[in-house]
Amino acid sequence: MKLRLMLGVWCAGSVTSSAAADEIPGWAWRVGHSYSSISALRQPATFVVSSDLGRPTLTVLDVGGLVSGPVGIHSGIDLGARYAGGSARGRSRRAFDATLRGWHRSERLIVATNTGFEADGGFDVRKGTMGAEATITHGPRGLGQPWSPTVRLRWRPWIGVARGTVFAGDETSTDGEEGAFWRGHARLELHYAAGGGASPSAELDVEATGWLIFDDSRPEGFIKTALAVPLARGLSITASADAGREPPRFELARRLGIGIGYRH
Amino acid sequence: MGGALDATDPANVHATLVALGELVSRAKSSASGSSRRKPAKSKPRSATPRAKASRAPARPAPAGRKRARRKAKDPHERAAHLVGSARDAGQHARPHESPRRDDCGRDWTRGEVEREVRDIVGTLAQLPAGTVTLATRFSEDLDWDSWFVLAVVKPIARRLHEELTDFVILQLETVGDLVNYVWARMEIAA
Repeated sequence: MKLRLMLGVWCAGSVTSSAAADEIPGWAWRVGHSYSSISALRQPATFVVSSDLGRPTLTVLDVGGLVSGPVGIHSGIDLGARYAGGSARGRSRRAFDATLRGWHRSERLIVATNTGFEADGGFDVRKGTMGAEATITHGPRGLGQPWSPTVRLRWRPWIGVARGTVFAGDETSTDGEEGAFWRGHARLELHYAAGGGASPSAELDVEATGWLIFDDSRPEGFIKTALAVPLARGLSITASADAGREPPRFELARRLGIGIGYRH
Repeated sequence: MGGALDATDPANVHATLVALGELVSRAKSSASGSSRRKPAKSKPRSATPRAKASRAPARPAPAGRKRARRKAKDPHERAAHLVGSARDAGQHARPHESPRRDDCGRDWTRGEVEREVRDIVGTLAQLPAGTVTLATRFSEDLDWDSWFVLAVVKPIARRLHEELTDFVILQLETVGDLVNYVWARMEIAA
């Protein structure tokens, strides 16, 4: 929430300062958007409260925010941050990452280069990365647009590679990254809207990411899904689930929850 | 729609002369204190042989427009303010609006621009002609993702001869917004 507040304040400042610009809007901000970070989330930001008799109330928070602006005609710049935390997650399973990304579109290819920082909840493991990833704007059926007017399923692939450095490690960490490392990744985003018309009755988002850690020659994967029933003004009742291992620690995690989602 | 650029084309020569005349009249009007909108910063230097005239406003600017712009905080709202509102485009038809000229010197009426843009969007969305309206929203109605909207840039450059800024397109919500943006990029024909 602090992060959103900070982003909001920053955006308000930049909007005010750029409002007099001639034709190009200055900056825009997004929450839970498809390109909210290099570890992008199409899913809404979710807040889950879990309470059982005799047990402490647990919370789960997943939020990604992005501030973006123009650079030239076919390019832009994004500053994004993502946090996965809450008391239901152990300290080591919480994750924070921030990214500064520039993207450029040429014909049908979008290439994004980024500098990122990722850390676990206690900042015991900290890593920095520099990398690039690419996707195409349109082409095969269903890419970026519905499969058909009746089947509102769309997908988008990303593929990329990153060079990273471990700033701080933890002996208990199960990740295979030490010192300087290379990491490749492929990501598939799926979106399905149920119900016809402009107001779908439910939206399902799946984001599956696979990493190849070159030094360790082993693959890791993480899948995150969210089923959202829209309420109003970006709010939704959201059931979310995730499973797999993701940076920075690549610890195995499995979670299922239901809560309030938000997307802007 | 528009022909390829040809410096020997009498139409282009005519356009050049018209633009020169407009420059002279602009110089006169600026000397007398008249204010005209500056060209967009992002506008690439045109390959056209003629001199560029200043960009036309998205719509006739009322006196308090600058103030209204500052009040708009939402980026979509700002984009709509800056390039014109889709609701305005749909509800307040402006048949009397004077034609505008693309970067290749071809004159367009607003209706023609609307028709072209709707056709381009309809083709990309694989929807029958007439399904796409000015109020059609890229995200909610067409279910396009953020990056897919950029697919409109190339056909618009090819058919309407206007180069659009990707970041602005990413902020647009409706087909009407896109029409207004393209219309705002065009110059007022002499």
